[in-house]
Amino acid sequence: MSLAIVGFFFVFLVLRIPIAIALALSSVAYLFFFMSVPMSIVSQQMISSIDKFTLMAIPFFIVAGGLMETGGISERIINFSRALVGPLPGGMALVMVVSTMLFSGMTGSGVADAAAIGSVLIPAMARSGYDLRFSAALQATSGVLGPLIPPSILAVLYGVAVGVSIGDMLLAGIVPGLVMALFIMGTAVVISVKRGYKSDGEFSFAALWKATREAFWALLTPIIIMGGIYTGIFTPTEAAAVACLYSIIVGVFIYKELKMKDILMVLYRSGILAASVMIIVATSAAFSWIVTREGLPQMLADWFLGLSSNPYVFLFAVSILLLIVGCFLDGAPAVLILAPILAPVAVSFGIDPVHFGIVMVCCMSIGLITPPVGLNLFVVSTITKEPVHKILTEMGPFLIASILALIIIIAFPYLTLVVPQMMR
Amino acid sequence: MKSSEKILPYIIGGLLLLAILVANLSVLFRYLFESPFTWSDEFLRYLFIWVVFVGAALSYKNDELIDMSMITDMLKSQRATQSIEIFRHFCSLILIFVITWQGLDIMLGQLRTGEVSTSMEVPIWLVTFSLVFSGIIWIAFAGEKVFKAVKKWDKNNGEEVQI
Repeated sequence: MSLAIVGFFFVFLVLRIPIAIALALSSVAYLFFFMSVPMSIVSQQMISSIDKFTLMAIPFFIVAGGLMETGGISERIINFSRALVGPLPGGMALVMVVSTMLFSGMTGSGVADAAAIGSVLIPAMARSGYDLRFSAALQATSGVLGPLIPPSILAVLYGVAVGVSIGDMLLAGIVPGLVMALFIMGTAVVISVKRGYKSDGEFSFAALWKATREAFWALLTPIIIMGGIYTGIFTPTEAAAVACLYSIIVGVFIYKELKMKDILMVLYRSGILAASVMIIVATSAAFSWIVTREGLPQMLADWFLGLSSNPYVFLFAVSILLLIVGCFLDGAPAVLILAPILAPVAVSFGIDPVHFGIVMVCCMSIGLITPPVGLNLFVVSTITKEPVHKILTEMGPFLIASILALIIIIAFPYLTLVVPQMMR
Repeated sequence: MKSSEKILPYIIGGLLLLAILVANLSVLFRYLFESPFTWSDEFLRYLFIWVVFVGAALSYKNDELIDMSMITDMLKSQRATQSIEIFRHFCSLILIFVITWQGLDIMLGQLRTGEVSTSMEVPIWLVTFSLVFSGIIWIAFAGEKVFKAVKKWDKNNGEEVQI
């Protein structure tokens, strides 16, 4: 019977009922038909699930991202990357990956990163002779780094949903993020050199020094966020709040691109965006409560254990499942719905829940670039005005590269666990 | 209604600015003056619960809640699209009604017992009230959407238009 709730959810999802509502509605329907538990459990769970200080990191990180996009930070990051890696072979392509990587170190979502960097760099690459669809595909793929490299909304959601330390989840993403970046950069350079795209100017220390000085305050952001969490000066939630205040100060007083009167509007828009994510957290709580009470994770664990007792077989099987889910569903709801079901199964296989979390985050990040529903593809399609199916013609090598990186991240748990273990 | 729509962004923006300032001051006080705020944690949680529920109702109104339109986009018949439009807003309306009703029930219980929060000692029902309050405006938004969808259906009554 417990599968009925999943069935309800799918029917509502297909009928285009918003995910937040579909989750609560399927819970209410299941309670009505199959369980003798008072319906008020749904409302109760909705409030108690978001009444957590650790979760407040998500709205704060979303707000910080909104402030940085409007505060002139992305432009300076791009100039810095240009001076640093532009002169290398495949220069502008590398600039794109490095800029997105640095920007990922300040914001929590891949979509925001792809939009902020892509809107500046895709036109610039077209001017330097790069194929428009190639640039679009590269930008979409670079956005995969957003949820992997801390701060990351998905990592926070997983931590809260499964009950592992948010700090560990954030720190664990650093090395896998770098591995993913290396694979994307490698692919971009090979294609650029093969097609004869030229590099971007001559290297000069003077230019690099100037760009570094201008980008200094922006580059300090990831250091403040992760340094603060790493040293234990503040909690992830406080780090996110400090990042908000810091972006206001840098945007208003140092770069002078954020007007005082715009701040409230930027805050409002990011606040609404944060609310649309957090309401899924609220309604998924009742859903997971029912699913867990009805023993679905145990059923799933038994089924997987029947297949094989090898943890790697489990990890690869789950990754394929998650990659398929990622083709249709956004990362936040997928993590909220699946993490509480799958993580206990992973633990019964002897897999570290933090490693499993990063594998999950990585799969869902790749979901940003897999059709039919890949948000980053839509973002670059909007920037370039090229239809998604034409951008897809350039996606092949990048998809292979990101899946190879995923395989490395699955096969070597050490890469994920090294930074959080150093902290202990 | 119009003026409240204009003022709302400033209220929500202002509350978020307040949240940012409180969280930062709390870190500052902990380190500089070694006297952490005892109330800031709870204050921020309650403030965000309000922002999340009211913000979610507003995102629903602006059609900004995350959904999956892949299958419905494939529908060729306008009639079918319009039927689904009515159905999905009607489902939302029913759900929000149930949740608001249950929320009200919980809130009335809390009013009776006079339960207060642990650190700020504010009445607990104020937190539950956020769900009831945003539920009521959400019901209004959903009702409006159902009404509009039904009107659209009526307008095209009898003509099966292929799009």
